[in-house]
Amino acid sequence: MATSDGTTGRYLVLYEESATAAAGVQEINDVTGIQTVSLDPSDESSVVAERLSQADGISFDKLRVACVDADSAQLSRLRDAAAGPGPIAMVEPERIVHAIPAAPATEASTLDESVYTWGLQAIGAPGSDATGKGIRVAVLDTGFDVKHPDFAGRTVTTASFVKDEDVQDGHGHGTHCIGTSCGPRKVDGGPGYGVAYEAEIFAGKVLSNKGSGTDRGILAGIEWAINNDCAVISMSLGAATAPDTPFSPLFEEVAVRAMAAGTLIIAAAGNESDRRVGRINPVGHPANCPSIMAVGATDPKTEIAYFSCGTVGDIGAVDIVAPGWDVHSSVPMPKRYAKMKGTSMATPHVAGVAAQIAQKYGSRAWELWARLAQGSRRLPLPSTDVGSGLVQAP
Amino acid sequence: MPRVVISLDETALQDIDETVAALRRAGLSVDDVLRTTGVVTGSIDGTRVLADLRSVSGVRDVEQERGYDVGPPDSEVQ
Repeated sequence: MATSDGTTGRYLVLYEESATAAAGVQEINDVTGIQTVSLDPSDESSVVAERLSQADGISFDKLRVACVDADSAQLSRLRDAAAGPGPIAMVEPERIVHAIPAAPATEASTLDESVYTWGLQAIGAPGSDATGKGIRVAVLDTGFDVKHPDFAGRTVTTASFVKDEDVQDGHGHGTHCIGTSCGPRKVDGGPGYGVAYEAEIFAGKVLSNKGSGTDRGILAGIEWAINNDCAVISMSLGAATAPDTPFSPLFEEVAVRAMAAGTLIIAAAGNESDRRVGRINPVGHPANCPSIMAVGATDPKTEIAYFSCGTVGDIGAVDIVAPGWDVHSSVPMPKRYAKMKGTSMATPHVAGVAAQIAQKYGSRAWELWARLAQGSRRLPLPSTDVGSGLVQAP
Repeated sequence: MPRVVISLDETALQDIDETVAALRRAGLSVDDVLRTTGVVTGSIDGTRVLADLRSVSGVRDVEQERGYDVGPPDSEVQ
């Protein structure tokens, strides 16, 4: 039974590292009643094929994985077992895999980035008179290079929520995202690359110089941004999720409370897809929360980037897309600039446009969301990949 | 020490200190009290106490803390 989302309708059950295959098989039987057949490497392939088609479950003992036909009640019990202690570590839908197509020939870049980055051009930023002036934008990331010359004279407020690290960006990711959302339009020796170039910058460090963080720091950063009346929070971060995993009720409630306080949270959809091999992974946490805007990435041909997460199942939807391919922006000195790709780079484009709209129309929260969606450029691509389309400056 | 994040009911935000005190009695070592969003972060001694935290009056959700990683600076996709 193949399903439309590239899965087979069967489920893969992974055993815990510490458990024996026999314990895994027993646990599956205990919680679901499903009898699994263990495959022996010496079995003839015809025997294997016959068993695969007839049994309710197959245990690949060596791989420590079982593949089972489970109905929704059995699936729910397997997921409960995975969530609790015991030999079952993880349950996920079995996917249909495809042969890898030949890589497309690389084209020489025909992009003209002499004045503005391709991303600013794609979202129509140069034609907008909105600058984000008077609007506070919080970027929760790896911090900021506070002495970067491109930000001299700008109002920047910083805070670190990472233990034993100050806000100085020892990674580059945060400075890059701040550059895209709030960086300059006029630069010596390079294209203008910032969307809301007069917005007030709130740089909250919630990811370490190694690029990692936890819920604690991110929640503290959100609280800080709300308390500072930021209209927009840009979060180019996330944790991968399995299809149909419920979104976090806690982050959803926090996002609802942020909205009530006039703060819109915009987050990266995630990079876990590999569309080159036909794999589309669902929107990650916390972008999968309904009240957090999830951003996917496009390339210069306005096609969905191969890594961009998609809408899979009923949980988590891509809401909008923005440029996320070879994005030129600031990084800590002395390097000064770099090109990066990812939904992390798409997210601050949307945050910058949100600041422009907030300035131009006085919109906040859900009205801001509505104007972002309504103003986006419709694309001839599935809404499951691009939501309402490509974000456009007001 | 499993780390947890806890959201409180809207109605519990008025006397948040009372709820935080009850969480401490239920075994929570408190790190942060976020008064605007109504979130408490901390850690507990053993997973069995999770249910105890959930049963504290004023608690809305208890979730195990997640980790995030955007990868090293030189990774292909960020």
